[in-house]
Amino acid sequence: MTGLMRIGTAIVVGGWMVSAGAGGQPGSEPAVQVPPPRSVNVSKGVAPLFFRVSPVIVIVPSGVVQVGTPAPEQQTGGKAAEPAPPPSATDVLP
Amino acid sequence: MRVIAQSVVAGAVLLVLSHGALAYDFDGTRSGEYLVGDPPDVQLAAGPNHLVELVNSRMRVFLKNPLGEMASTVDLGTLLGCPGPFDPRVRYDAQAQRWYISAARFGSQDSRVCFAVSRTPDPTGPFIQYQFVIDPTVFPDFDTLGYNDDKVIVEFNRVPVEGASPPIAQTGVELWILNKADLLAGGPVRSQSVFPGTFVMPATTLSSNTTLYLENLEETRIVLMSVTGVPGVGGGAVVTTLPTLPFSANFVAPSSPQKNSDNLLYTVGSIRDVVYRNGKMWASATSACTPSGDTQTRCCLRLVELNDNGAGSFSIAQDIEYSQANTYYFYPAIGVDATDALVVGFGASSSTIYPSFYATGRKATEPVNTLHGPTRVAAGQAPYGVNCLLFGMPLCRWGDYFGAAVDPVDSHTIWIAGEYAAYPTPTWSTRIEQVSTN
Repeated sequence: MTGLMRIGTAIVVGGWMVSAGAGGQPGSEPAVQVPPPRSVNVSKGVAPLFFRVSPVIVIVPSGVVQVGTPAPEQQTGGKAAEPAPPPSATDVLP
Repeated sequence: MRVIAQSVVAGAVLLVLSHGALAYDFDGTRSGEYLVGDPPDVQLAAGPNHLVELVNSRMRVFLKNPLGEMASTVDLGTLLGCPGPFDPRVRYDAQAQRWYISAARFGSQDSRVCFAVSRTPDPTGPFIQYQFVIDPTVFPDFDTLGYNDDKVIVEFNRVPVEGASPPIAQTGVELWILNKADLLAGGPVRSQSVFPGTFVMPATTLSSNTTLYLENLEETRIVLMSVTGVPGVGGGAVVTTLPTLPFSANFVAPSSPQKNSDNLLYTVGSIRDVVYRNGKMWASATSACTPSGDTQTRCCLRLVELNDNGAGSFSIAQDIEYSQANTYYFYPAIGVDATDALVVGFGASSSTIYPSFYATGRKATEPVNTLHGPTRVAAGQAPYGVNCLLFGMPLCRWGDYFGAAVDPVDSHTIWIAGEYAAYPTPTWSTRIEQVSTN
């Protein structure tokens, strides 16, 4: 939908670019920011949409983070995150 | 219902926008600041004591008193437990006194929509993280958030990736219905995944209601769905397709020129916000129209209010196309106060205007299908020039949406956040503005 533009079979997705700039401290910038690709291609022959509602799926928390205050801009944020179960830990109930 | 191309209430004062001596507005985030991406896709929510602004991909928490003082800042990936998130969304649920945040993340084998809920009304406190894992062959895009008394809905577009193995089963749209009581408890959350079959945006529900509505403005109809029930309770959530409403619009919005530049802003047409309150539902969109006194197609605002007649029946109460000759309006973010006054924050640009941030609105008591004249919130200072080679053309990514939020303490205050081009070129900045509807 938004952020998409079709050109032929290509869809360009609303991506973004990281600019680690004036607010950061040289050498302190964590290299964890990975921008999404600027474009992906539409797969051909994808099944058409149909209406579907799943049974109940239980999603467990993947972690807890404390934002904290005050937090200087140089920090990447949260204090220590608690050990987290795998993010895909879901159980489908009958 | 009549569509008014240029609907203005002359002389009335709806928006008390302060500039100069009274500091009721402040700049939020600026391009180039620490680990901030381009474009911002700015979002805003208001709590009892704080304002939360999200951009790609950082959260900043500002105090309401003293206004604009930054209380905290955090990398959104850290907050969500989700590296490289984009398309951030934030809501403050005044009934639950919690903050909801979502964003999408794409990786070759790690596509997710990431979600976090605060444990308290204080956004500097702890957040619980949840992840919605998606087929690794799908690019999740343009996630949206809605909520009501007993549910939270996270929705996103499923963009298939060519050559993916195994091929994905479905493209289009997916939404997750979350049991709100489970979310507030901070433990496992009973949920249901839905493929609605067509795009519909979940409403931010500001008055008590156990039905959560979803809506989309299409070129020939208004699509509506309802969600009743709660995942894991009784028969679970029930998604119902409601009768469509006849409608006419053009959402093939042109790109927008800017002053002193050959680069155009890539301004996407389609729905931006849906807000339900007191039996009324407003939707906002960027559309294409030919303004009064003009001969060319420009970007315009489309604002549609529906009456909830009960039993899944809606009717169009107001249908406004808001435009100005030789000018491009886009990305309307809407807030509705307790008296059903509407405030709209939006972008504007033209060959004589740098990309700027404007506002308009209406009181519920004013003539239907009218809006006030545009009020400039933040004037662009230069042409924008980042990410300006989209599709090999001189198109700049300007983001997809702005933000608006009703104050949970002062129901006559609506906060809006938008983007404007800042000097020195080619940067952007966001402005947060307090709008009084008294």
